[in-house]
Amino acid sequence: MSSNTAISIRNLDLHFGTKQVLQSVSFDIPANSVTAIMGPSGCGKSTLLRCINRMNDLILTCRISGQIIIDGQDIYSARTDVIDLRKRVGMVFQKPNPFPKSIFENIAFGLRVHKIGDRDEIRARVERSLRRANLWEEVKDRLHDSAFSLSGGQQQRLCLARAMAVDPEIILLDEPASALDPHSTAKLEELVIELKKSYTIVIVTHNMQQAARVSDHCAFIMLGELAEWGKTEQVFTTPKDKRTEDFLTGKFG
Amino acid sequence: MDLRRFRDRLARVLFLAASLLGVGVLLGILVYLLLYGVRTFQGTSVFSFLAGLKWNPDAYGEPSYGLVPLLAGSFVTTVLALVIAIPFGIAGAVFISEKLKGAVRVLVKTMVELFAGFPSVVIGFFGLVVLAPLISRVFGIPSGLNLLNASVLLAFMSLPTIISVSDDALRVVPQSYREAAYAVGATKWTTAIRVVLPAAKSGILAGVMLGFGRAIGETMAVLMVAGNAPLIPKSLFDPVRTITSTIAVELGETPFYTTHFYALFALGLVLFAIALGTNLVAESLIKREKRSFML
Amino acid sequence: MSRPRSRVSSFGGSIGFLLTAIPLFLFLAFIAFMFYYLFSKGVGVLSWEFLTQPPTRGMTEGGIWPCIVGTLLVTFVSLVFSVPIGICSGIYLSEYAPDNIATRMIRSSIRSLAGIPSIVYGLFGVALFVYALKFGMSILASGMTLGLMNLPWIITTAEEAITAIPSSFREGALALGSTKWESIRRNVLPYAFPGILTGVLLALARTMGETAPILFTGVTYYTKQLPTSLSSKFMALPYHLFTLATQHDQIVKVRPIAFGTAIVLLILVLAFDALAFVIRMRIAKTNTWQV
Repeated sequence: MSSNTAISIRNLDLHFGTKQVLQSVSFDIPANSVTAIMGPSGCGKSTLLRCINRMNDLILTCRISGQIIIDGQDIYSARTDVIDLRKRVGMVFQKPNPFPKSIFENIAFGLRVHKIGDRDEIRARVERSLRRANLWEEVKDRLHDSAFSLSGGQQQRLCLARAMAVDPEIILLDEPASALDPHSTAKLEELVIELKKSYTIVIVTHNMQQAARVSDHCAFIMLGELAEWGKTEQVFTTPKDKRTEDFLTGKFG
Repeated sequence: MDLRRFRDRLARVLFLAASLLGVGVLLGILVYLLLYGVRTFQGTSVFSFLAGLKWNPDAYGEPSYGLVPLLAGSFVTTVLALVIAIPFGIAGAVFISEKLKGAVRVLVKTMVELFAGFPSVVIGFFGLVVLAPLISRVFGIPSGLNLLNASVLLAFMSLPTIISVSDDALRVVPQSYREAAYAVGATKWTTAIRVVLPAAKSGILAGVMLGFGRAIGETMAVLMVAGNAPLIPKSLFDPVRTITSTIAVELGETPFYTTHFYALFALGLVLFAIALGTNLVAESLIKREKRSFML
Repeated sequence: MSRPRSRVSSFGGSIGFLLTAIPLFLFLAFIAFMFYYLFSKGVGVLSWEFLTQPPTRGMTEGGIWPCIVGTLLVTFVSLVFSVPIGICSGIYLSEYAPDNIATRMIRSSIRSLAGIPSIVYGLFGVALFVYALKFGMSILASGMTLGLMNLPWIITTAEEAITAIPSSFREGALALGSTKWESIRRNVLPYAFPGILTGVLLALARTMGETAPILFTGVTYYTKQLPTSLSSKFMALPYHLFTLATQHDQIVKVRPIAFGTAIVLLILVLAFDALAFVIRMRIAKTNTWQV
């Protein structure tokens, strides 16, 4: 494992009850880059993503074996503090899910829960997160308005800012633009590319053009198996696995 | 950090404990009723309790603890009440579910629910001051405190339950059933009666059962208008005593730990069993209706 | 432009629905009549003195103040027990309970408890609170008996109110690293609160009108003074009405007071019901997340 690897996935198997959803998935995710996990609908990409911050723990019938190593530690070992893990690994969901609070309180939520900072520090961090999400200029005069008063694209950037407020190392994005219009999608993609300087980004998408535009590395999942992974350029122009090639040329959905 | 985890664990334990209390209460009631009720049979036999035709616990010499007149009183008032209430209730539910919409529907349902909240003493009082004189005048009898009065009141009191549960049962019928009927040219009315109503029959039956449970468990209204005579009723104008009113009338005057006292708990046990039984049956009926729509 | 209509076939349908509307409206008319009758007979007795003075001259004169106080007090005591336990239980059922037999048994028990006749709760209350726990006939015994009776109602409303909160609120909080309890406390309960409040108000209203559970656990026909402690006996509106209507030796003379009592009780109950209704309407309006 090179020092440049943020996340190392080793032999990950996942079952929901008796149904196997992920099989022997192994690949590395480099730090400070954008890695796309792509594949047809229902192949297990989102499930894989949710393993990285152990959100699948919430599903009672979920059984996992294998390892995911972040910062030298397997996050599935018994010693892992899941609360701390989720602070270090942030997530943005497919459908924007701002809390029914003000814009300010949405961002401040993570800070309050982890008891980070006093009043002034919280205010400073909220501004910093909103700036990083390219949202500050648009909302600075209405921080105490309801988050629902924002458009879909703005809400998604809000959720991103919310995740960034607690200073994670890694940000997971689960098809973040699928509920957005093309213009908002473009803005979000620009933002993602900019953010990789400060964070390791893993983005799930079923849209291969998006994967090509946005990512440096990508992993292609097919029916729960890892078909191929590597630098995006290489996977797209010279795919090594036939399944990848078929997907890229449009043979699957 | 540990404080946060500790609070998380503590919260979980507390909430589980609170839920177990719910089960505990049910068990506790059953246990007490059994414990005390069973002691009745130190002073009388099970047979003479269950099959005895006289309830006269305070009689000199030979007190009798016969359940039959009280059970008959409860049963007859309740069944008669349902005979009156069922047509009103189902008709009302059909109208509310299939014809009313929007604000009017909410208004009507709210009125029905509000009536469900009327204290039973108030309804009993109404039966006493309005219904009793009315019955007495219309039928030319000296007293209006009888089976008829009690049944009419119980009918009204069980209507909200019947209407509400039946309305739910009708609304749960998938819209696709109605659309299929409309598509072959059936009117709304025909669809409602020939398609939706039969489809909802389990749920509606559940509503009737819950109405039954409600009526048979009613104490105060019955106490005020039924006439208070523990005899098997032979006509609509006979005074009756129900199990509930018996307990209410006699518990306060009965010396502790006597057979009479325990017999009241035995009565409570019978009531508990009837209520539990009807509730469980109603529940399984509702489940059955919902299952029948999952194709 | 108007809605398309058809002629003949809907006419028979109209008669049919009329057949169902008539019984319903008869019922509604009966409800309205009952309220109107009680109100018109009782309103004449109502006055500031009636509401704030105790009864005098063997209940034939005076007011019903101690009954109002007693009713409110005993209902309050019952809620002190049932609301915290009920909400905790509701939280458990909607947030923690796994889908297994134990949970189904708990739910079934709660539904069964809701169907048990109030006089049975009265019997249980006498055996447990008055005698076994030696509270004697008191506000405490009656309050706890009533509390047991309205516990299932509170649990059910609390569970419904909490389940109605979208799961994305919880998920978002958990993904940020909050503990389960923190996500509930910060992101679920505050939004479920109006729904829970509605349920509590409805339970309050129903409890105020209950007579059977308090009959032998603490209510009394007459006390000289207002209840001074949890172990005092108390007067209550429903019982007062019952005695004036059926047990008093001058039934005819006290009849007007009985009407007054009935209408005061009814209005109190309906007032809380109305409050609950208003809150429920406001919830429906402000729930922007249900778009």
